[in-house]
Formats: sequence, structure tokens, C-alpha cells
Amino acid sequence: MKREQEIKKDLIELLPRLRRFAMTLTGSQDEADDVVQAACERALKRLHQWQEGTRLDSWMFRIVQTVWIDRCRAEKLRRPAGDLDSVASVAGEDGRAVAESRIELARVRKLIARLPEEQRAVLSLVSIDGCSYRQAAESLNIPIGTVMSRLARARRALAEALKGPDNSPWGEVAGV
Amino acid sequence: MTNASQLLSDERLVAYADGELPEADALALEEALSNDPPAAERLRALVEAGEMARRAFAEIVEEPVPERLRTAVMEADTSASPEDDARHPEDTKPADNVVRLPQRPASRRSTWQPVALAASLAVAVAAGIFTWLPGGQDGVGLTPQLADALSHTPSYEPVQLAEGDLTILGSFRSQDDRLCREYEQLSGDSGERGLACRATGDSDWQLVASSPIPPADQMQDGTFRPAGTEDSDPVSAAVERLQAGSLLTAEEEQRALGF
Repeated sequence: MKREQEIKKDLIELLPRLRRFAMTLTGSQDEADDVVQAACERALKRLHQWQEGTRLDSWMFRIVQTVWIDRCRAEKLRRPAGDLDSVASVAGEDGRAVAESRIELARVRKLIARLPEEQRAVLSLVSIDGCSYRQAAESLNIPIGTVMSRLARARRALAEALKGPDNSPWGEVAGV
Repeated sequence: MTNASQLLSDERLVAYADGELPEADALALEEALSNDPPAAERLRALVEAGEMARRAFAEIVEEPVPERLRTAVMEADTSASPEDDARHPEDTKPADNVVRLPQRPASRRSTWQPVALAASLAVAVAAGIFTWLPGGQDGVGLTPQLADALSHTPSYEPVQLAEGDLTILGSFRSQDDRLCREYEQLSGDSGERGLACRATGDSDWQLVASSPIPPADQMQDGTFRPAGTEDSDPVSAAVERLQAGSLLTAEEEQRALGF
């Protein structure tokens, strides 16, 4: 087993990615940070369960998801992601084009927040974090085929929403 | 793939865009795509959706991490608490996928590292469960084509069989030194996972376990499948029982298969 301090350092390096993953699950930065903190604490208590040589990030994604599911159960609340707009309120706008694209990106976040949560998790790991399908499958403990189908559904739903009904390449007929 | 609409399904288009299709599949898809402008348009829309998702959350990783998080990690207690384990048994089992199927897309083969399984192996040996396999089931459930593919195909090299697209997911040696290979056979939306083993010097594969992969539609139950819910899968269970060591590297696999 690696020394605890080294793993803590690795965890700290992972924090930005874990926050983003949690953010796509929770839809709120504050809640995402709470979830990430709880996940890190849980992981560090169970370092003996992590097998050195396996991916720490996959293990952590899994724990973040577990913590979040536990919270939802505890709250009996599976609400859709909430105050996503707050993410957009970052500094750095200069000019109309940027502002417009920020509005567009805020809209994308809202659309993603409306996806079924299992699709959101896959979209987050693959399209947002850049994980391979295999790593997403490992992190979420689902078969690769499920990763593929959830990802395709999520991307299609997002694409259709972005294009609008008139320009959808899927036409008006449901299903392909 | 039996027809163009399956070949150019959203799933495959997305996998193609993500660089997750094996090369032969990608080439076939490209060829079909050149004759199918509407599918090309779907591909563009699917790529754009992924790109927009990425950009929408790109800034979050650039933001400074709140100090309270860093502090919480550095000061966290690392002493294990048994109650905690009991309450969350799903974390206890290291993700079985993580253990036996390290990331190994063809393009990244060089970075692939075999993963040691000493801990789970020790448990399995202690439990004495390596003798459970019935013998004498030569070729049960395995078509000659599948058996042939198992003998001659490296992992992750796609094979098209009459029953569907076959991908072998990895090879390992069982405790009793048989060569075992896990595979997925997909036909349209559904398919089958399986595990087959053969003894050294033997050319016949034995099907050790298999389980259906349900159609994707049936996965859409609107809920997460939390970690651990798939423990009952017979293939995962068999892999766990049989697993003797790390997955074979590409070179080891070649040697084991004799080519």
C-alpha cells in the first residue's frame, strides 16, 4: 500500500475532476463540494480496500457516485440539478461573443441537468472528463454496452435539444 | 451488423466519434457513412453535443479547489472503521471490472498495465472454490466459430460471427492453469457475455459461464444501478472464482494462444 500521504496528494490532484463529476451529478457547486469531501473522507478511511495498481480515479468516481446516491436516499430526494447558473457566473467575460457563448453553455448545463441521472453520469465521465468507455464502465460498474447505449441516448437528447425540433437530423419520428 | 441502420446506429456513431470502435469497424462505418448523408448529419450533431457538454463544464476544473476540501483531505482520518465497511459493503469489493479488465483499447495498448490480484485470489483459495467447475462439458454452448475465434483472436480485435459481433475482453490463467478468455458477443441491441477456458495443450474450449446482455432499452429503468448490483452476474462470479493472476499482456496472450 502506498503511503497515506502520497495517496492524499494524489487525491488532491484529482479534486478538480471529482468536483466536476460531482457537479454534473448534483447540479450545485456547494453540494458537489460536500459530496467530494465526504467521498474523500470515506475513501481515506478505506484505503485498505483500494488495490494498488488499479486506478485511483475510477475508484474515486465510484465512491463519489455512491456518496451521492446515499445522500439522495437519505433525503428521499432525487431532484433535478438546481442552481447550475451559478457556475456560469465566473469572471472573465469580455465582449458580446463571449457573453453569448456563456449563455449558450449555461443552457447546455441546464439541458444536461434534465437528462436521466444514469445518462448524466456516463456523459460526465466520457464526454466531459474524457474517460475511455472501459474506464467509465469500471467507474460506474456497468457493462460497456450500457455505457455505449446511455452515452448515445444522452448525446442524442442533447443534440436534439440544441438543434430544435425543426432541424433535428433524427426528424420527427421517434427512434431510428 | 446485418444492415446499414444498425451499422450506423447512434451508439456506433458516438463510439466512432469517441475513437472507441475497433479499426475494422471504424472503416466499415466510414464507408457506409459516405453513402448516407442523413447519418453523417446525425454524426455531426452527436459530436457537437459531446463537445458542447465538454465545454459547458470545462471551466470547473480550472477553478481553484476550495481550501476546505484540500484541508479535509490532508487532515482526514485514515484509520479504518469496521462499521463503515459494514454499512457500505458495495465499496468493499474492489470494482470487479477494475480488477479484471484494465483499460486496454487497441490504441493505448502500450500503456496497459496488468493488475495484481493477490488479495482476492488469496480469499478465493482459502475458500477452496477452485474445484467447483464441472468437467466434461467440452464445447457446451460454444459454436465452432466462437471456439475458433477464441483460439485465434487477440483480445479487443473484433470478429464478426453469425451470432453477432464478438469482442474478446481479456485472457487470464485460472488457478488450475487453464487459459480463460472473457468475451462479449453483441447482436444489435443485446448480446451475451461469456467466459471460456481450456487446459494447457487442449484445443477444446469449455464454456464456464455466460449471461445475457439485455437490450439497452431494458437498462432504461430510470435509476442508477449502484455499485454491487451486478454481483450476481454468473460471468463476473466465475471470473472471481477462477482468477489466478493478472490479465495476460498482449505478448503473454499470444504465447498462450500459440501464435
